[in-house]
Amino acid sequence: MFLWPIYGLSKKYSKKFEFKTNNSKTVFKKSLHVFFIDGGSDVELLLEFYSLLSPKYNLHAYGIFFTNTPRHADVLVILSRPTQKMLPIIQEAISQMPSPYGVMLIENSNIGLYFEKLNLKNVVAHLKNVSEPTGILKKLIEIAQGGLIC
Amino acid sequence: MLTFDFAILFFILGMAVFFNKSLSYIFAVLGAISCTFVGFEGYINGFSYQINVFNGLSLSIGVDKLSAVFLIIAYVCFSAIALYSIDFGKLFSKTMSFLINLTMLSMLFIFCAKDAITFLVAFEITNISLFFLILEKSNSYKQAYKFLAFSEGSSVLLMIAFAIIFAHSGNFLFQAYRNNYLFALFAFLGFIIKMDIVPTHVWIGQTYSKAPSNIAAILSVPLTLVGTYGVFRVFSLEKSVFLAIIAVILGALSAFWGALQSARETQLKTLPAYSTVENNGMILASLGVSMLARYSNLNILADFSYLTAIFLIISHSLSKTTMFLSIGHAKETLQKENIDDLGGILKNVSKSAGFGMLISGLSFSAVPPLIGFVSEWMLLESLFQSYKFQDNFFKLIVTFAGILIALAIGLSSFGIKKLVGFSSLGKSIQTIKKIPDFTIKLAENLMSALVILSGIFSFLIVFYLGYNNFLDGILGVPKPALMVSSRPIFGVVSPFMFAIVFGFLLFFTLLLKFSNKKTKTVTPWVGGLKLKENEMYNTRGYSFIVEYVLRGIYRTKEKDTYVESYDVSNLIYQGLEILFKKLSCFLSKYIMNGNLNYYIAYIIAMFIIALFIFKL
Amino acid sequence: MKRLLGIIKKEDSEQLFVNSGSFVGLVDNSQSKEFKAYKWQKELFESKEPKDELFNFRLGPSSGALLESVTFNIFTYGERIKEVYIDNSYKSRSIEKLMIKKDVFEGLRLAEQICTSFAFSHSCAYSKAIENAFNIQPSYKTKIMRLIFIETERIFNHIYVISRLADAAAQKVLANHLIYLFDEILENNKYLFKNRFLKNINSIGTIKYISLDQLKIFVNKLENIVNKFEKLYKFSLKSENYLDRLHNTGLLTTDDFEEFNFDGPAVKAMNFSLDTRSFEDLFDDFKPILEEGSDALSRMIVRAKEIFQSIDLIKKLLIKLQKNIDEKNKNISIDDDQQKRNTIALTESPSGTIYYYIELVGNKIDYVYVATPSFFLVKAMEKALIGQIFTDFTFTVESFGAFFSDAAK
Repeated sequence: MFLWPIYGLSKKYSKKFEFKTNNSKTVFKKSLHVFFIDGGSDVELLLEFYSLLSPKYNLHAYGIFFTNTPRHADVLVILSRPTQKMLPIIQEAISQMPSPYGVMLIENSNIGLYFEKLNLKNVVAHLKNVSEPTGILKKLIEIAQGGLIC
Repeated sequence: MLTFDFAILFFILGMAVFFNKSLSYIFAVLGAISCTFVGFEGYINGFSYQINVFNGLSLSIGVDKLSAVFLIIAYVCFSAIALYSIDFGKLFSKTMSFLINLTMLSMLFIFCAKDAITFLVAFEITNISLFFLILEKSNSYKQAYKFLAFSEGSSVLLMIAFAIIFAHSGNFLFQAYRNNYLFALFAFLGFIIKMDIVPTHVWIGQTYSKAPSNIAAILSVPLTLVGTYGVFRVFSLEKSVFLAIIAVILGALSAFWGALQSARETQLKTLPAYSTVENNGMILASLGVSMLARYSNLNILADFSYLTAIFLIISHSLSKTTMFLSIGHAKETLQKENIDDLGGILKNVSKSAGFGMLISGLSFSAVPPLIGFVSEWMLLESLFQSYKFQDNFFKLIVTFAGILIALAIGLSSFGIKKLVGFSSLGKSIQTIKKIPDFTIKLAENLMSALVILSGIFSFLIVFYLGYNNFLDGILGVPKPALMVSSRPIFGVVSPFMFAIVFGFLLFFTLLLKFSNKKTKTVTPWVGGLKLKENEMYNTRGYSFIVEYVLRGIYRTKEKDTYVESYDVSNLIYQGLEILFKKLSCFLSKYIMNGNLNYYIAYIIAMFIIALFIFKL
Repeated sequence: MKRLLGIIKKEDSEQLFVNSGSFVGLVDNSQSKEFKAYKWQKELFESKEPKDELFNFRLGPSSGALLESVTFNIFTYGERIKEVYIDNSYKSRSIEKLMIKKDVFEGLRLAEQICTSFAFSHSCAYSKAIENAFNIQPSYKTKIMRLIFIETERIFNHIYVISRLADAAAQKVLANHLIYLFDEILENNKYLFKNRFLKNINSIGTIKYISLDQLKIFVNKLENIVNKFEKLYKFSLKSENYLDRLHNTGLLTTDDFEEFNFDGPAVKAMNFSLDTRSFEDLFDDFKPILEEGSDALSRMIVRAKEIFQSIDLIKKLLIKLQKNIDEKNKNISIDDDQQKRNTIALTESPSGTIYYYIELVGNKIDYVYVATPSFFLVKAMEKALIGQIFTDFTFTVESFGAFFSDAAK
């Protein structure tokens, strides 16, 4: 007989991935709720975000949670430079977020509007050419530990 | 009695000055208030007045405790309706004021009649004046005739019942009617038609929605009260077990069916119409349980069920009047029929109409401490005591009635939430037609206040009606403020204490809400786009899940762009309609076709038959 | 089985890009009556309004239920979905337009950005088209390597789709295990190429140099992951709850195929195949996986079986590669000779065949039309959703494995 919980526990996925943070003691103090919005990219960043949910990264242990609406979010992550049609939606999402909030920008290609020209407020991180889960996770933990100063 | 004379005087004055609508309605208000006082006076010391017409045939009017209770309830509602009509009546013709006065006058005589003749005359006048009142709106002939057909059906049954008595005792007075089973059966059937009990409810949906709203309120509350009064009267005269069982079964079925139909309905007035069916079903069922308990010598349960029936009447009358008055206000302002098109009554039309709908809706959904909560709690408590019956058959019937009624309460709450949620609390911007609304608002606010106050102070009503043994004070509640459902104590409730605690908590919640100024208010997140007008979740969406699950009962048919479902009991009448049409076609073609020979043959045949009968 | 791949509009003329059997090419638009798909491809961007009791339940563009920015206009009167119109214009980057006047090598980078999940397939199809146009013959090793990586892409994409499907069908444990495997494959890709999605590997006429030993380690790891997947998959089939949710949801018929011309696992689940790998010489006796249910469950089973098939194909290709000696890469350059060229090429991506129609002037691109599989699957999705209730929405959508960025281009 094959049991999910036993199978799952025996794998110890989260142990396989060692991730060093600067100050591990404060890890559980602040949780960070993240809403990500697809700027209209190819799906690369979306798939990377999806693979962040892998038990290996053990996201919740760092107090990072994905939400389904910007109204519950601390950080809005904009994945890739937005298309013209996505711009009003991003602005609406930012206007719905409770303060204090932060905006994190990630870009992976040279298609779409320039982030610099959008004049977005409260930008807490801007990742260029970093599209791997480890890089994104590192930045998110930094934001969570540093607290949002906006 | 002075108040009685005053009432009659006011109504006659009201009819006389029909050319001045406002004045006429003011007299109607005064008359209705006088009638309420007649009720209060009559409850303490009833009166009776009798005249001999000829040869031992006497007519009589009077007020006893039963008619006094009904007078109070009916005329409190009438007062509000008349007050409401002062402004609302400006939208309709002068005859309406005349007819409303006439209806009130004749209904006073219905409640006070002590003999069959007075009763029937008053009853017919009420029916006919209501028929003309329904006709106040154009294109309502079909609906008005449907109403008349059912009313006259009821009249015919009552005439048969009275004829049976007259044949038996040669007297028209009600006192003589005790212990006559056949009379009780026919009168019972006649009155439950007036109560719109299933399956005689099919006319109400269309008629209520066609009639002007104040008339719909009369049809829904005082008119069905006539039926209820009649059934109470019949049961006080003849304590038949068979009729009690029929009452429980029909009442429970009616409550269930009405609630079931209100769950799928999306028309603004049809939904409350089905709610009327449901409430009258509950009244009938609780009265039946009371009779069964009396028969089984369970006197405490019998008293409690009887009290429950009265509470249900009060709850239904007050809440439904409030609801119809508010709906009428909104409907005339917005000129729409569908619940979907009437969004935002609270915001756009008026605070009092929206609040009236909300309060009456909450009352029907049994939210404490409103009167609807008290009455439905009492009903369930009395049905839960079915285990006390010795007879297994009674036990079974009352238990199943309890199941059906519990389902009905749930379903009706579902339906009423749809009505209130989409219309009163909904969101929609409409073009608004201004109507004069001072007395309309006044009437709505008075009735809303009554719904709340009668719920909170329901123990005072119990006290007034003289059922002191259902009042107690335990669990920290002071003496008369706690209502109990049986002795020894079975269940307790105290809407009064609830109101105090709730008010206390509400005060602090509001304080907290207004002191917190940092709250950010934004529109809902709908994928980042603005919500469009045609993207609102509609009433069909709300009730489709019920329609789909119960598709066998509703005969739900899913079409490309809409869903069809209907009240199956209409099928019976459609069948009857076709049958009668064919029958009349046959008669006119073969018998009454204008051929002289047929008529002569008929006359001769009748002559011969008569000869034989009288010879024998 | 004829498919209308697209309508090529140029100034005032209009031609049809069609595929019939082994023929892929342009025909005159007088034949448009033979294709039912002509109508919807013509009216692609017309908006519609709900009637009677229907109301528009709009999901998206940025909603928790959806990963990509896309709007589902769902016309419903409550629980039942009556009509669906998918608006994926939020994802439109007009890559076909961006490619115009670009160098063929720049075009390759843009082709990879149409959809990352099919990046290698796009890249292969594009480079094949250019190779055809300039008569460049890629080496035997390059050909085999391309096939290996297309199959790798198929494996991780299918695992991703099944994990999304399991997540939608409330099989969270299975979904999380599969995400882990998905991430493992991506890590494996990174080990070989420093890119998790096999981007920037393929080039026109050649492919990045990898030693045979590295490739063997890569394939071994991949096989391990597929074995783990097999264990999970077989166990997941024991969950009746899971199967019941997928069974008979999102049904499609052959009429729907004729109208919408979709392909890939969605067609294989209807018991016939348009898999272009059948024409590939390097695969010996390739047999497409077929299922009969034409529902979400069959599509899932096809994907799972294709994963096992792919790893077998990869192993066979690796053996073929071992017989050949390592060869060094050569630099390929294309001269700007100002000649006009037309070229067509195709590749079997995980969700269906990708077709490229390219017109070139010298080494600059003059016109591109890309027939992506998702473009057709999105229409099939609209059809499959009709008549479903809202609970089945996610299973139906996820079972197609369509990417809106792929459809919007």
